[in-house]
Amino acid sequence: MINLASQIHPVLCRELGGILILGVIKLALKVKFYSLFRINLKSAGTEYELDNQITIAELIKKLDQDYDGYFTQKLLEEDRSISSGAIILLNGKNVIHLDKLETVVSNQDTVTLFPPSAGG
Amino acid sequence: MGKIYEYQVLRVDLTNEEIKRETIAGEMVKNYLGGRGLASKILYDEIDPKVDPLSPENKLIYATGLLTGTAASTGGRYMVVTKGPLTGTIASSNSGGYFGAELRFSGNDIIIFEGKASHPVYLSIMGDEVELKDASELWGKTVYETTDLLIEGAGDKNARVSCIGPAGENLVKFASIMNEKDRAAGRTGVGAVMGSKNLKAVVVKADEKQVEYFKDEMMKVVKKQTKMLKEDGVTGEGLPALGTKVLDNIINSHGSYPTKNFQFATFEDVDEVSGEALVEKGYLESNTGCYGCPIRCARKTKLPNGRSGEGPEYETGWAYGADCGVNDLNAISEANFICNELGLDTITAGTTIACAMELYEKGYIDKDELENGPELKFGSSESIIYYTQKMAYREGFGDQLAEGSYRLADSKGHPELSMSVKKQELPAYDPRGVQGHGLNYVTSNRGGCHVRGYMISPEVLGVPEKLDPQELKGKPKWVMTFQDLTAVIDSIGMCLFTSFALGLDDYREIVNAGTQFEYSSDSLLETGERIYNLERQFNLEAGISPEEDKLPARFDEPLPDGPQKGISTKYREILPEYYEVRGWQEDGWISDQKLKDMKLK
Repeated sequence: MINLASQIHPVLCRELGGILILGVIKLALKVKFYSLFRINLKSAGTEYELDNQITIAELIKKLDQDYDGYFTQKLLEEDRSISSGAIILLNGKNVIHLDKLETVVSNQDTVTLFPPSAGG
Repeated sequence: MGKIYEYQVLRVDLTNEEIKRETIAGEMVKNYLGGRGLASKILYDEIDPKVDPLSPENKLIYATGLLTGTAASTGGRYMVVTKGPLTGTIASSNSGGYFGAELRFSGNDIIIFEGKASHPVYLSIMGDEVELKDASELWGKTVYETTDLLIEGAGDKNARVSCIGPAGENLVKFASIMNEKDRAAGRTGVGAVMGSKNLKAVVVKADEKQVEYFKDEMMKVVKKQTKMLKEDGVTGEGLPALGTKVLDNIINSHGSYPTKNFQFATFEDVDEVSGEALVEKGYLESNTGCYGCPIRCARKTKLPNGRSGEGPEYETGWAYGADCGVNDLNAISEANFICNELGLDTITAGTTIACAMELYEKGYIDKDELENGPELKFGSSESIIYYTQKMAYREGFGDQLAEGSYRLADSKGHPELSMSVKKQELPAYDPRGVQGHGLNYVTSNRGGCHVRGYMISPEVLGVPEKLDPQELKGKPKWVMTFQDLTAVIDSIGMCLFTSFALGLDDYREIVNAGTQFEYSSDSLLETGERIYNLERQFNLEAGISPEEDKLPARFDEPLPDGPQKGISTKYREILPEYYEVRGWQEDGWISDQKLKDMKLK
């Protein structure tokens, strides 16, 4: 039985050699970890299938649940603003130039997280 | 003992093999600090800016910074200043490692090389004994071989060597000068000027540390600043762990990661070549650092084939990687090692091959010209290694590559395919994605360069504060401030990377502590402005007109891919305001009044 809820819907219905192949693509929010996040957590990222849109602040809470409070500590100041130098990108755009922690994300978006980083 | 604000100068006349001693002190030091600033002033005063860079009339200046060899964090840098053969502009290229500090310890703060030796020579500084020695046996040797032989000859394993490789001898226009084998005064072709003078190396070993400064006053500041550097997320954590290659994914995610000679701004195989990959693939052995450095961003790597060396840095990894469409980290690292051994600037070497790949794929280079070498196709890891060797020795098609991308593309009738400013190749940030950084490229005094005013820091990395990379308002002033502050840091002999954690007030504090000078933050920054104006004036007098303050036409086309798709460069909209905030004329020239105000006339 195919779940037709909003986050999962059938997109691949192709006939191959007379057999109907029914596929599904999960729609999910992709979260990518880089730099020390990736090295320290030994993970390149995670995915969340969202029922509704959430904010970046809510996403960080979700991540905290899965990673033992790690992301609040690394991305936020004590006053819960984004730490200087921490980079949170929504589809390649820094959320600082969108609605900061109130920026809304949904399935199909990609959020990319970097701790303070620089080079040259 | 030498006070750090009284520079002891060795003037080495290579033509007549004579060495004289001089001292520079007083207002010259207060106005130009040392390193890049003071050496630029000497060059401007002593040569005609129109000289052929590879003629005996050009001079090559080694200069330590004001705080080089002191306890200042990262205070080990030296600068090489000359007129550059790649750009025809003033060239200055600095390097870390330990050579600069050792030179300072020896009581020789600046070396001015003049003329041209009749045969290969090197300068030997062993304690108080300073002499030119025959280098015929060293000529043709690699950087590694030369360094080992000179240290062996000095009879002291702690002797430090700065030298050129075959690329410098062969007058490759982007040859580097290397110290401790892997540290590079890389850009602008300073190594070719050294080669043109038949000067192979400088070897130095001090008997005692001849560096006198206000130590107690300075140590308090050093302690504080070292703590700041260690506690900062970038200098205390990110750079030690991943080095500069932490940037691959950041810049790629922003859509400013030049790919295939800047035809695209994202690289699909970035995960194969990133800093994270260097760790995950197990190539990274350890990190290492320069004199007095708490950051330690350098990479020691070992490849699966057993070869080991230093690198790749972000710029190198990108130039040979994404810019050439190559996703083989093994080949990229190998090309980096070859550059270090033969003495080539990795940025121009890699990007010149990328330019040649586009020329070849578009049919502007004949297969016959390659003389049975591998085809210059994007993605060819074989090519990047093969042609790097060939360019250093100017063999076959390498002879054309050795001229850099601009002259190569121009000779094929397509100069627009060289991704350069003032004939020096652009580094690893597409200027369409970062508008302030684009303005920095066109106004850099040494041609295409990211370390004259690193606007990536505010526009992408959020240091010291986050600016919108597409916003134009206020950017000219930001660019000017970054350029002037960088000139200060380059002149006091500290590493530019300290500026991720330290600010202008911190530099003022450490300079004043060590010298007991009384700079205000404003007057210190004005020193940087003076240096910037001096370099610009040198270039104008050399015949580089403000019309050269421009990007290649490719950047007027919209970005074809990535998060910033559809955006083109907007530097022309803010260049007039930049001239205005600099106090220059509308046409980009510097008025006599401004030169007087800057104490340049």
